[in-house]
Amino acid sequence: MIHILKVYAKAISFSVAQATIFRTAFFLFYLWLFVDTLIKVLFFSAIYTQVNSIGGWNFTDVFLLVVVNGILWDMVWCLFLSGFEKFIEDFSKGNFDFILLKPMNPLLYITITGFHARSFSGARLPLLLYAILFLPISWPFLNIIAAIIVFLAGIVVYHALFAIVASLAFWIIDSEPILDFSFSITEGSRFPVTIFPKALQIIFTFIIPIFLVANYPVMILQQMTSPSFALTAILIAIGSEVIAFLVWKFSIKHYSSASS
Amino acid sequence: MKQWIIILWAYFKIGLAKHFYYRGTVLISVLSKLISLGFLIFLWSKIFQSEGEVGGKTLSQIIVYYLFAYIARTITSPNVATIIGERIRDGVLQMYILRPGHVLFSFFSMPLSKRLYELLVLLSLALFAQILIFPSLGLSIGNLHYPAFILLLILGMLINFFAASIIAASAFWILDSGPILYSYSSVTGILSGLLVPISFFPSWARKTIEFLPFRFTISDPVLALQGEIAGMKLLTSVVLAIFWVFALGMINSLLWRKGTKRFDAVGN
Repeated sequence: MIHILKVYAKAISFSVAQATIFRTAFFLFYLWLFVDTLIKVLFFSAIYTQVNSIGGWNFTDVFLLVVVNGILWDMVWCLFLSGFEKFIEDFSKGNFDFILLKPMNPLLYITITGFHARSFSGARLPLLLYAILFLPISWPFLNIIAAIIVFLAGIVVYHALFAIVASLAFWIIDSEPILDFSFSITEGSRFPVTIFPKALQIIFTFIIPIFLVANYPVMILQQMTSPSFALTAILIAIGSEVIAFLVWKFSIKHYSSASS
Repeated sequence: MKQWIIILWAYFKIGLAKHFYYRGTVLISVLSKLISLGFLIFLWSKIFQSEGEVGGKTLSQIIVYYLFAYIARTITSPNVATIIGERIRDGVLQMYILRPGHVLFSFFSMPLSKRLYELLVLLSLALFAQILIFPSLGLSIGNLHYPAFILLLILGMLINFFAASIIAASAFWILDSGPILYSYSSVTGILSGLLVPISFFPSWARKTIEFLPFRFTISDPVLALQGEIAGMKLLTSVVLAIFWVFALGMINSLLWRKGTKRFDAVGN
């Protein structure tokens, strides 16, 4: 365990050094994340100039959804997604052999070396602060705790989802489009869950749980669903990780080295 | 000029051969677009459940708008800014400089072949939707004006290529221009009318957007297709689009001439 923590600390310090060396790039990246969120808010605000509610969600709810979804993606990119992306890119070049030689579980190695400090620049936080200070919201303490739990469960779910997508690299030579495809599916999480038919709501909450990640934390905060959903979210997160681990283990058995 | 066309055609054929070989990749890319489109259709269907008309548009008009906005994007936004930016940053641009014709020729022609391939798949699906899905949902696709759509689409494609290439040229001066390129993609999503029709914005925002060239890449071609831009309005739109093609083309040419002089490639 100490060994793993040491490797993780090294990965973090390396990534932070990279982020601070290229300060202009860091600033521009911060600006981009801010602009990106602003564009998504603009998209919904243009719609809300014409209607008052979308499937029972008012502008405040949707504003929070956009911001929470943005923060979640920042966390996902910061904590592990770059590792999976690099793994998929490098796999066809035969670079997985080098990962296998490391004295660590390959999935764990890919996850912790995927730390990308620049992604969590905090660009969405001013918008969250704006929501807390200026939008008409009142959050009970229990709901805040439950929302944080669901949010963290959402990060675990995304880790599992992208581990499964990455494991497809063992079966498909060029699996990069599959990664892009999974980004398209997860795009659904930035829309209010109620716009979808009931069947899709169930699929995207319990089977491919993309709604868990941003929709449910906001629904709990805005008291649209019970805080007890946090327990379901924990079970879904554990279940997703177990499935991802089994899929990874099964897929890695299929691997035959491509390099000499 | 003839020489240029021959070179562009050669790059186009190379791109086509490559993308026919990786058919799966193209199909997944089309599927990704359909999923994004599907999410927007769910959103608007929900909005129209309680409203007969929103922003002066019916549900049928909105669905047709988005369907063809995605088709227009396929042609007009070949995502070259990121690719060119990366090639400059990695120093790989030297290979492109050594190729016959202008350095940007292959960036223009090769992605276009993939987009045309995707366009064929998307148009077949649109036709399928027009014939089978729309009538069964009680939706009407209306009269579509394809010649105006195609004319504005070609101009929009040139505008977007020059604009993307100008943004990508920033990589000659900034070491990591990635964030500028990503921002460009996000911003044009809203300014072109891809995410939401421009008529939905408040008047001050609409006026600003109408002053910029991005509406010619998605909004204007689709509105012309739907017959909302016709007659004098269409003529004005075409003339303005041609103006932007020349203006951006000249800025692009100037920046690339200066940029390539600064370009410093390391390697073999």
